[in-house]
Amino acid sequence: MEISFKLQIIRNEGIEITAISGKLESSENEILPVIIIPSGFGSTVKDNFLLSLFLINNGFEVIRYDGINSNCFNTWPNREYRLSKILRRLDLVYKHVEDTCKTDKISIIASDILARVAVKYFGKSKKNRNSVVSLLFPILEIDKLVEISNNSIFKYVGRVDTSDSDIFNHTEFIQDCQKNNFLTKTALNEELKDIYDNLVIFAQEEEYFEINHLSKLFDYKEDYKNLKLMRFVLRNTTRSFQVNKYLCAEITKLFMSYYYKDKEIRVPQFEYILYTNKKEKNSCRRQD
Amino acid sequence: MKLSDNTLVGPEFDCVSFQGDSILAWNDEQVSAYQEKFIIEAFRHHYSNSEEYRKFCENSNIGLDDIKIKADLVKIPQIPSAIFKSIDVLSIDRKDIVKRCTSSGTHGLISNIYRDEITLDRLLNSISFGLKELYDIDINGCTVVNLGPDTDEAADIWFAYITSILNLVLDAHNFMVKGELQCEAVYNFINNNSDKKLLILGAPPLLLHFINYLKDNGLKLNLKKGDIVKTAGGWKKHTGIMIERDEFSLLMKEYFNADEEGILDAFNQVELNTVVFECNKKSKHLPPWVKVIVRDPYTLEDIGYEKLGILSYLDASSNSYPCFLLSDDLGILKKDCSCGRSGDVVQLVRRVKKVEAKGCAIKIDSNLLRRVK
Repeated sequence: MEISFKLQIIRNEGIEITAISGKLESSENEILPVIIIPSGFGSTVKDNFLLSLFLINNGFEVIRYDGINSNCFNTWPNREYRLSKILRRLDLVYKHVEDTCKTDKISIIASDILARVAVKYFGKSKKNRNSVVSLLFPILEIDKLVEISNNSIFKYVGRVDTSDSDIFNHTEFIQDCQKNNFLTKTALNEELKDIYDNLVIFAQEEEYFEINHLSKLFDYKEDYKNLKLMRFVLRNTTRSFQVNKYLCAEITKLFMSYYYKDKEIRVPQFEYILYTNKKEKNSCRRQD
Repeated sequence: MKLSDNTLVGPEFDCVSFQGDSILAWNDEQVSAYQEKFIIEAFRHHYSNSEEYRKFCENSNIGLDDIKIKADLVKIPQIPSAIFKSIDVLSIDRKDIVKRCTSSGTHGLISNIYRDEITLDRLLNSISFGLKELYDIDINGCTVVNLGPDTDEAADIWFAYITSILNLVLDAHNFMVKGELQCEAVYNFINNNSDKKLLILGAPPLLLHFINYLKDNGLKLNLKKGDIVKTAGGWKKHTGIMIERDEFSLLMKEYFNADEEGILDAFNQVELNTVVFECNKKSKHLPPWVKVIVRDPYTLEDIGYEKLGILSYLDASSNSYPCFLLSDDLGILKKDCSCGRSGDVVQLVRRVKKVEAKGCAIKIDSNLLRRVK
């Protein structure tokens, strides 16, 4: 199953985003459900390669993009990391997908802090009618994260060497969160309420993700039986899903159950993964 | 909120081994319990599914009922590496073979190991595990400069293949094309990417070849603290003369400005399904799914820790063949390490002296020299 990967440069309002889209060559002219996968904190599109391969092979078009100023295979400068910027970038990518893919079946898989951004975006904009909002190891309660991380979110969450004292301006990050209403529980509750029926969470109990705590956030909702999609609490599952076929398969099956009922999952095989990885690298490396 | 409780995604072995909390912090009891469960499970699988292995066990008077508890692990029959040069040992149907993996084949003696999806996945996970646990390198944590070929050119040759699959977990760049190391490209790439954490990977002969290029052209590199020079593939040159690690480190410091703690080795052989990584204290740390038993060269009795003997392996990560090996290497097993990680560490001392038992590095070295000539 050959995949067509395309490097896309999305430019708007002085913002430039490098994205990689992928779909099966055999479906080149079909309109497929689209899944947007923004890179999580401190990660790149490469992290999501295996997951995207699973999804593409099972009938989805996948758009992945990186954080700020990225060329798709490198990390980005963390000192520019602000949730408002991430939200703006998601909006630009979403609109780009709407324009180019001609579908309203646009879902998202967002991990760690990006999950909070996705909840705000899909919640506020009500763009969730035909969407699945899938949160992977989410960090929803930014205020709690800030409290736990003791002013060093980047050290706590990411894979970032914080020995460079200039790498992150904590105060500005918090101010940005406050200004854009990322910190209050009321806002989070309201946004979750808006996307509740289409929400999927793959999570593991962690210091900043307590299942009980999250359950309380959902207390306003009593009609559990009407849930369309399941929530999963994972045991022994790290964020390293770039080599975790089993988790990729579970996430793919979940999306298939929503868009392609009764279809069997196709699991990419090792040699095919190697081949496609090389193909993507050759066709999508941006030369700046 | 409806949350399904503790969903285990994937087989238990994979979840516990590769997805759980740091297993290099486990205490002895945890490691013992793990090994008792998973190594015995692996033994039962191979005994039941490999006719060759079952016969081998029967010849050793070992049946399924003889291996039940941890104390029985030392009795699990281990296949001499040389056997893989003469017969195919399989625990799966041939139709499930994904990759035939071969050793260097120096002097025409080639080991054939057949791997299926599960076994290859676990191999990759062992690499990912080692990079993360030993070097704190996560997926995009560094850029790999591989002095070897890409996957296609590596074909079945094990060492080249294993380094080439790093592409899947890291941003890797390969610098051997048609058997020839692209020295100028390596030099330029390292210089142009000095802002990134670099992992320079190669067999010692290839790194020495690259140093000769630097010498000949009056060049030196300036690696920064945190960069890693990673050797693997064996320490003998084509001449069979051992390259002393101290001498090698001095060259790395002189020509790469490499930090001593960043000059590290890794061990693997085609028959083993795990790459064993070295920490910055130069200890090769064994993950719990690999149990090393050091055996007396004459009696094959387990001689325990701190004594020189033949290294033998029980690697529970293989599904397609019994990865229970009696190797050609002499070494010492030690407990714990000053780096703070728990568990066993292994020190390879030298090969058992046999003409046919030379390493993959020799093949690469001699191939390279042939090209150069």
